[in-house]
Amino acid sequence: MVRIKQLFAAFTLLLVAQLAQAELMVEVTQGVEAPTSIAVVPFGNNTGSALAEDVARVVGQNLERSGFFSSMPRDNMLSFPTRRDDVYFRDWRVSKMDYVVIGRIDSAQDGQLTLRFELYDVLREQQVLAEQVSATPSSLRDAAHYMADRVFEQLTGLKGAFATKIVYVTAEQLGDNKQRYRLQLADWDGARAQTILESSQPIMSPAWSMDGSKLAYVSFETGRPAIYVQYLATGKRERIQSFPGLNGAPAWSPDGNRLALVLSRDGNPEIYLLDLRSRQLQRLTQHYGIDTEPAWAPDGRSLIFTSDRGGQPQIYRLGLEDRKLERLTFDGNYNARGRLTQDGRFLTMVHRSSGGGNGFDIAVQDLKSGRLDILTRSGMAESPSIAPNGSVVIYATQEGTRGVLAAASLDGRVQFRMPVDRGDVREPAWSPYLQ
Amino acid sequence: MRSYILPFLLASVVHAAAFSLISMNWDRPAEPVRSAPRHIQAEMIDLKALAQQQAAQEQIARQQAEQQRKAEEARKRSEREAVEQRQQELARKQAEADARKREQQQAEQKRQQEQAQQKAAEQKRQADLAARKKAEAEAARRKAQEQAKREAEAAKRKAEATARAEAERRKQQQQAEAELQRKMAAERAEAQARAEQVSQAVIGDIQSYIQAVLQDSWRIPSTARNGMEAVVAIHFLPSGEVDQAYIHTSSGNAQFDSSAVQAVLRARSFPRVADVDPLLFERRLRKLLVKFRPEGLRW
Repeated sequence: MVRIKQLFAAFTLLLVAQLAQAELMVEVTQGVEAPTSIAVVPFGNNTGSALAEDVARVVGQNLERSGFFSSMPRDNMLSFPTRRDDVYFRDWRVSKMDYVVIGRIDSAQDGQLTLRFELYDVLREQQVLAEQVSATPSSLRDAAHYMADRVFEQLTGLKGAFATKIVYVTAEQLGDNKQRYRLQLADWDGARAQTILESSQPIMSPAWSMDGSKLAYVSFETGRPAIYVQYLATGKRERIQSFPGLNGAPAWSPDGNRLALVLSRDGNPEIYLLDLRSRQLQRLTQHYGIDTEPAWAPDGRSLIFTSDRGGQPQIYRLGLEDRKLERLTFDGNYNARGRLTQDGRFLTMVHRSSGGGNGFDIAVQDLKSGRLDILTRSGMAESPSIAPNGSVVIYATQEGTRGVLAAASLDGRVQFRMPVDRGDVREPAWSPYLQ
Repeated sequence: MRSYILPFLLASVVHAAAFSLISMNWDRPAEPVRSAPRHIQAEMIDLKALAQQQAAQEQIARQQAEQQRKAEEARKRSEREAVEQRQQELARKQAEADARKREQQQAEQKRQQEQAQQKAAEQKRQADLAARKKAEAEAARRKAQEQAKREAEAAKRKAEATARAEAERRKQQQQAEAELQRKMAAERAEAQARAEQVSQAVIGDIQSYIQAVLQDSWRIPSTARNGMEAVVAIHFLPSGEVDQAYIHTSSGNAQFDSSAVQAVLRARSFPRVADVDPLLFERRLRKLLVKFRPEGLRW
């Protein structure tokens, strides 16, 4: 009798206890997909003289153009702190900023400059980063790129690519049917362009080696297309090969020992591998269709290239060990000029959608999911080249009758044009990470 | 002849004196009251406006009074209701207690009655037995043995019956007690379950509210990918303000974790949390876990 009473009481207690413990966690599954808002406050100048670069502006611009950040316009800033004590987090929170960068520049010995910058988390009211950088008055822009890289890495976890470079070809009409071609090297945003090669004959298809020390390109200076290699540090040039027919689209293997080329010596454009040490040539493709525009996968074990063997240009992957061919693009009726990110995940290309009346745009395909995103809407885009961290794609497009360079962030949100003063610009190539 | 002239004269003098005393005006003549001519500063009053003003004032006063009255009424009503509710509660509890007491009393009474009945029956039986014994004692001794046997048998039967009755009574008593306990425990559990339901509903409401606020304030970073999951622990103050927020379970990606904590800090306060009953707040909302798990991202 008593047992039953106890059991019943125990059961009731258990029931009540269970009810008390039923704890549902709040689940948040939606949010706002917005870039991180950051304010880069103009740096304090304690050097006593004007500086050649507005460092904070370069940092803010870099961060904004990467597509990951939204940089606060200077006009909206309530204050311009240069020290921790002057930072009132409430002001920045009211302005809806999540992060603040402040800094100051002081003179050091031997004419050097010391830049000190600090990154603050406005909501948690904590310092996230504080660093000191040395620079010369002429290398302030490099210091700005370095600082932008550090902030970018700290807040996104990705490696920053603001200190990388681009090369591109410009063509000017000089009148009397004469042209001038230049190979230019510039900051990733087009600033500080310098000429590294000038010619009266066309220059095409510049390609960076994976260690960033040399370029390969096609030059017509001898009257016929030939592959050249130029060492950036010394300026030394070397003519590699000239085969009968087409010589084009050089691409460096990741270890720098081989070049993939397009040659038509055997009848129609095919892809070949040239070993730079032994000068041995190896044919990779055998098809009556056009196979061109090779690019290496980051592990060096496969090549991607454009081929119209299926009827229309599409991008394929060829394994170098097993010679297995795999088609990569299925959307649209034209996919060409494929380039991979340094981690091999994203493929950027020139793309034309199916259906009539579509132009050529830049698209990015996620090779893991197969999802294709179209980044541009101009209908006249070509030669895409992607940043080593995959954040931005640079490409050539038309502005009226002029060829210009433009860039888009990988999510398509940020688009900007690069200023180039002379001629038509074409065929940009983005460098890998540089030392 | 006596002359009455002297008394007559004396009487007349006395009467005249008395009369003059009575009729004389003892009051001093009052001074002429010189009153100031009544003059007043008068202004033209628009009686209608005045009336209107008055009416307006009256109306306002009336309205205020009305409002006050209504407020008063409402307050009184709510007070009354509260009091009523409390009274009802008390009455109910009282009624329950009463009912229980009554039941107990009834059970007790029944028991006592039964006992009394048993006793009465017992006595009657004993009386009968005594009478029979006496009658049979005079009869033949042959019947004495049979009588003794019958008596023994009867006694045995009687003992058994008593024992059975006793056992029956004990069983009934225990059953009644068990029944009572069960009923009381069930009532307690029911009341608790009902209270739990109500607080569960309140908590569910608050959780939806918190979810809505956070979904507004969460900036999903560009590096977020489908499948990432971070759990943030929030410490609330009773006012609804966020006292602390920190990562309870990391997603493995530092930027994602940051964005989750920042979402809470960006929201800063959840005013509706202040409306929750303090006991419930202490139990369920003092520390809350929130899971951030984005759905439908690009990559």
